[in-house]
Amino acid sequence: MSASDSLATQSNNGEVKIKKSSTSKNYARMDLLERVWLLIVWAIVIAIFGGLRPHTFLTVTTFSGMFGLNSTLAILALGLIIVLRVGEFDLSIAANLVVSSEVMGILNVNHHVSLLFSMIIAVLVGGAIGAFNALIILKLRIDSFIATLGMGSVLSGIGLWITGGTSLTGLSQALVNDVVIRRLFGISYEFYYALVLMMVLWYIFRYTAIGRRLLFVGKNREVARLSGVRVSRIRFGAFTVAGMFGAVAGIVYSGTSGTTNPSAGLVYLLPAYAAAFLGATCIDIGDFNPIGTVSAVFFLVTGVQGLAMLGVGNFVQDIFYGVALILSVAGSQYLARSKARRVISTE
Amino acid sequence: MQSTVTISNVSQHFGAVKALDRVGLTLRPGEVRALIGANGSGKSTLVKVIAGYHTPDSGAVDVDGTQCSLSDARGVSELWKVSIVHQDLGLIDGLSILENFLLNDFSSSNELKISWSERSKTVSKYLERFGVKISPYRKINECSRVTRALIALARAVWILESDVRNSSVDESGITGTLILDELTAFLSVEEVQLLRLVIKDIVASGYSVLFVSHDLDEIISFADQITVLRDGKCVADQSARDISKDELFTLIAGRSAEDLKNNAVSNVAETGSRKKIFIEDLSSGDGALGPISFDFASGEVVGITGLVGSGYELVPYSLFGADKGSVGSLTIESGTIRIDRLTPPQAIQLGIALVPGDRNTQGLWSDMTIAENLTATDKEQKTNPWLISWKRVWGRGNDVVKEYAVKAPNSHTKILQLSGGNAQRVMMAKGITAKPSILLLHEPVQGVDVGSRSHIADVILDRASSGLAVLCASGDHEFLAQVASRVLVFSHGKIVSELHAKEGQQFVGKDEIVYACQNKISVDVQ
Repeated sequence: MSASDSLATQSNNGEVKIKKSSTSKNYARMDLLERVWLLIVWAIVIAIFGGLRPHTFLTVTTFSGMFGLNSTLAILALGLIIVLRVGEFDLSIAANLVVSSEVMGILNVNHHVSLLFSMIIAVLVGGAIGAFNALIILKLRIDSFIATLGMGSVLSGIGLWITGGTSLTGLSQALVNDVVIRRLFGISYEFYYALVLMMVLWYIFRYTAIGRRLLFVGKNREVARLSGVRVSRIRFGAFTVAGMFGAVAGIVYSGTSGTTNPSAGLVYLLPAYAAAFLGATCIDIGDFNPIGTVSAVFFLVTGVQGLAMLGVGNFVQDIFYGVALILSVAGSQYLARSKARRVISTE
Repeated sequence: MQSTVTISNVSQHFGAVKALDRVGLTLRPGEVRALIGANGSGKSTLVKVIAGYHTPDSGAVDVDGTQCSLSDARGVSELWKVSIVHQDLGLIDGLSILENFLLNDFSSSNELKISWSERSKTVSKYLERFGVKISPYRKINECSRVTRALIALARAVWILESDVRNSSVDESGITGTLILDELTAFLSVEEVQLLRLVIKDIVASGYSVLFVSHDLDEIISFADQITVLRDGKCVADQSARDISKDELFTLIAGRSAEDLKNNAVSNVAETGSRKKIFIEDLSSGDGALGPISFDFASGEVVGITGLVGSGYELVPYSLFGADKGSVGSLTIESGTIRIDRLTPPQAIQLGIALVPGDRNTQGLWSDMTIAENLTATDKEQKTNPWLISWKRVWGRGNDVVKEYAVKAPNSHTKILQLSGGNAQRVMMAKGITAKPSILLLHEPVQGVDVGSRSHIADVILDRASSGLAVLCASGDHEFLAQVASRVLVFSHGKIVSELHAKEGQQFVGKDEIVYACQNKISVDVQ
């Protein structure tokens, strides 16, 4: 192939090489800073609150609480980024959390089913709810935003119905022990559950073909279809697994609080979205990613905790999460635009 | 009273390019004038000047002895009304026929209450006149292609007639012309015939029609007078009655048609050991293609082409299982596959690769890196789907960057940082790394630079010489003439001719392809 050869040497000419060496170093430094900006800001936030309230904020209790008691949110947000990564929404995931944890509670408390078996059923129910979401979206060809908005309402209704609108107490103590009572390095076990799920997702997203296909579908469904990706199957799988994550979050919620609650789970929806979008502005910039998401969860939790310790009322939580969601989406738009500008300058 | 309109001395330049050079034409009431010319001959510029989108350097309109400069849009509109139907029809899918009729009304009028019933009566009358027997409250997307064309036509005539009525000082009205810009491109032969009757009816009511088309057959059957443009100049203005297709083609191309007629004798060297691929009764779901049957072989580059709307561009997608509703069968070495059951993943499994026509929306993930894009189809990386080696991904990407001479520092470069030509090279590589035995291409050099064009041609020929069967659907006849040893020409969804390279030549000549597209010479295709 002579013509190709001659063009190949053309690409080896000096100009292209110089471009490579001068830009790549700058990029590497900028890239790293961009990637971990959230961790830096987090450290600053801790320093500020620490300076303002050294005796209450900078304590082992505060930190072990912040890390140890927020895995419900972290796991829910991790489930969420699975569907966000394929370019879909799941607004029913918090209601799924409620229903699956109630199913576990009813089985364990009312029907004396063993804890392990109740948990397995709960996860299966969560997965089934996710699969049902996917069926509605795929078969009826409805936008996932609308479909899961509707399903979320249906599920919270079911959540009230099956428990008569009350909390279930008397869950097996083993659950509470293994979620929140037992600690490793001063932090409840549930933190490590979230950490393990984060690492599993990180591995799947980065090192498996399925993880890549999730991203392919999310980046451009038509390109994925014409590249031979089974788009419907990927979307179906993403909703199903996200539903299972919702159920796991529900189990952790019940373990943390020792009860199930038909409404308390719903408040996690917005913070989970805030964490997912904020997480997408760091680590793998522009993509929903597990490490970014979990970092964002703890960043947000730190902010809420610190403000509470400054004596600001409970209402600040809602404001804080809402502002974070809007700012993180605005920030990712800005990053995308500044990247586009950089493209032009290197051309 | 309708009068003769004479447009004269129209010149228009864009930068250094002279798009129109002292062009003129006459539109007589009751007559259809065809405007024809090759791509870039200036016919769409002329239409735009007449419609008032462009202000020309010079040019005048004469109606009944009253002259007006074409650059004076208001002056022209007091003398003469035009109404245009474009190729895309300009109908809004989600709205009803009635609403589509009234689009212009609503944007300008400021009446408080819309009198729907009165307007729907008027619109119904127009629809009936054009043989459309459906309620004006139906949505556009419930209508067939030909019905839409008729609706667009009815709307244009309605606008024309109300313009003509409203702007006259007395009852007689002023002169009006209907312009049809490539209206027939997406219609079947039967549908075109239906349209012909409708147009006859329009001219019978005294208006003049300017009919723009590529299709010589249509020109001859529709038109009374013909104006031919070539390189911005008017090269012919004559009656359509005594002109043959060959004469017309000579006028368009500027060279004799005789030496362009391709004797489609099957003189291909015996295929022998080559693996044959047979396609039978292929048709697309929307009816724009087929049924067609043809075959090609490994090591062969077959071009597929036709005029806009002829349906050729659907073939690669149908054969890849990516066009829902396509039916037919595909026979390769391993057996016969039903196309209605074929899906893209299966096609890939069978060794079929598709390089689609649109880089940004079909072919590549533009905000991902070169290497990541390649992983989608690279068989080598699929060996361990549970532990992707990124070192190998980047390495493979860098190999492709080098092999295809992509101008990028390395395979970490994102697609959106590449120029069109370089992105196209990556897309070719993405198709080819799947190691297919059949490569389906759609517009492989659309919007790419000259260097990339020849590079892509080299890649195609190189792979064909090592046994790949290539099907290249393209409207770029110059490119086909660089790669294709055989060209199938489509018209209205069917294969109408098959061109072979002349003796002693490797590829089909460009002028032969252009000639065949415009003349649709029928040749028996085995």
